[in-house]
Amino acid sequence: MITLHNVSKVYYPKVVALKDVSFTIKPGEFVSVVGQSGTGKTTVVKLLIAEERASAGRIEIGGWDITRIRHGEVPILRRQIGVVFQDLKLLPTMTAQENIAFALQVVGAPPQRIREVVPQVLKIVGLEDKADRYPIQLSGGEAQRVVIARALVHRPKIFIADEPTGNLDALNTREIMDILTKINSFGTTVVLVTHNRDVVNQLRRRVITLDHGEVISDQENGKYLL
Amino acid sequence: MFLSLVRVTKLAFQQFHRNLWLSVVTISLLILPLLVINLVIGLGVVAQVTRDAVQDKIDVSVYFKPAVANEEVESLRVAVLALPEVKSVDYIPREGSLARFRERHKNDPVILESLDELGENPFGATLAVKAKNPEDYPRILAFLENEQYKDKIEEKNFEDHRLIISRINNLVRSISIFGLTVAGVFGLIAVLIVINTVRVAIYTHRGEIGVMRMVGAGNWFIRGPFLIESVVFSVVAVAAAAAIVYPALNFAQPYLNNLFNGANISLISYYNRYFVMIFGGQLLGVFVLTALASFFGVRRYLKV
Repeated sequence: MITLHNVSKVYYPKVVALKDVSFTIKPGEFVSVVGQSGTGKTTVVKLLIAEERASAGRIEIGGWDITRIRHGEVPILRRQIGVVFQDLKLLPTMTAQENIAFALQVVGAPPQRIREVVPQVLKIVGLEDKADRYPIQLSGGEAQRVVIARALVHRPKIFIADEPTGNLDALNTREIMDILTKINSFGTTVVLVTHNRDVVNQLRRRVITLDHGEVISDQENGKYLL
Repeated sequence: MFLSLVRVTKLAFQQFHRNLWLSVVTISLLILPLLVINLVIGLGVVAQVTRDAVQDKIDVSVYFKPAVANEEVESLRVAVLALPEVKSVDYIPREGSLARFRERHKNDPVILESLDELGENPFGATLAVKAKNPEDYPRILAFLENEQYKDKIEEKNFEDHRLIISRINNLVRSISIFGLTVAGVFGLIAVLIVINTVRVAIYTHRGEIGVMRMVGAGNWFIRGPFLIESVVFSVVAVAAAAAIVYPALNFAQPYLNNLFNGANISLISYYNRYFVMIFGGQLLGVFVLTALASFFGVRRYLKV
């Protein structure tokens, strides 16, 4: 369960990114957070992975108040949340499977577990046959699928995708959305942050709409309002 | 734990290799203060040998009147040797004094002829007294002024080298202060360079660091490669300094032998004997310096 209680975020000196935002996301839900550019969508993501601290209010993830998270606890939180950003952050000198394995290596996973998990996540995103390709040899959609695979290696309970289809054509967008739906079907909570109207409307899932840092709508089976 | 250490070490070497030229510059700047420190150590050893050689030459020669019996000289020898300040007393009998005089003036026939004309040994016995410390000679001289011995002594000859020793000490002190100041300045520059190296390494590894942060790598896993890189810098710098110092000592040895003409001075033996202390100490010092610089650089530039 993810809960935001009256959360505000003000960037120095007086830029208000979020104002008094409250909502709850139940385990296993698929929620889209939508809004135009600069409405605070990415700020929500940064608060959820403790990259930023809320200026006011409280954020709880699985009953854990992460607004008071200690510096040393941040990695523990991040291992429970899979994150995908629009800027891919794939390492160009590593192949697809090396990029995925790297995410396991840096948290101390033993080689045997890496050998087991990497093919599994590659299969989920449908890239088993392109495991040895470098990012430059992959299409935009394929590269995004590698990023998704990498975010899945810790078997996260929560999966956050911030504009995952931002740079993709309609076909690749469809594929990415299918993968996110598949991940959700495993019981993983998915938070999709986007301003893609078509994607949100086709999903027919819960939609939280932000405008100027405030929640203006929260609808089950919602649509893109703005 | 061991697995993470291996992976962190691998990343550290990757960083080292990826910024190879910057690593070379950093190591070069770490070598400079080490070379200055080794120069100061070498000069210290040379000064110590010089000081010992000069100190060894100091003694009080006590010349007895020819009429004084050997037993009386022997009793004074025993009395002087009993003084806590005295290191050794060499007894030279009358015949020995004569032989020494002849040897010293063997190229001066006039003096030798005059000696022969005398027909008898004009020299008394001699005691050569060495003190444990140069500061002790005044007390030994005061003892010899005792009424009991005064009449038996013809002459006392004391050549004071304390001024020379004091000058050597002052020279060594000045060189050490200057050398350590220069080493300190180089050290400070090296610290700034290490901080900059960390900054550049963070920039060139921003991709990996971003991924590590995103997937929940521990803070020490992210920071570790930079600290291990500082260990690599330290080890390579000290090894390189040793590789420069030894040939330099080899080169300097013949000149030192000429300069000290027979004095037993081998810098290489000294370095071999104290290798662990000298280079171990330098390794520890450089490591502390680079680790602190790295730690500061990581704290300043790496957001985890």
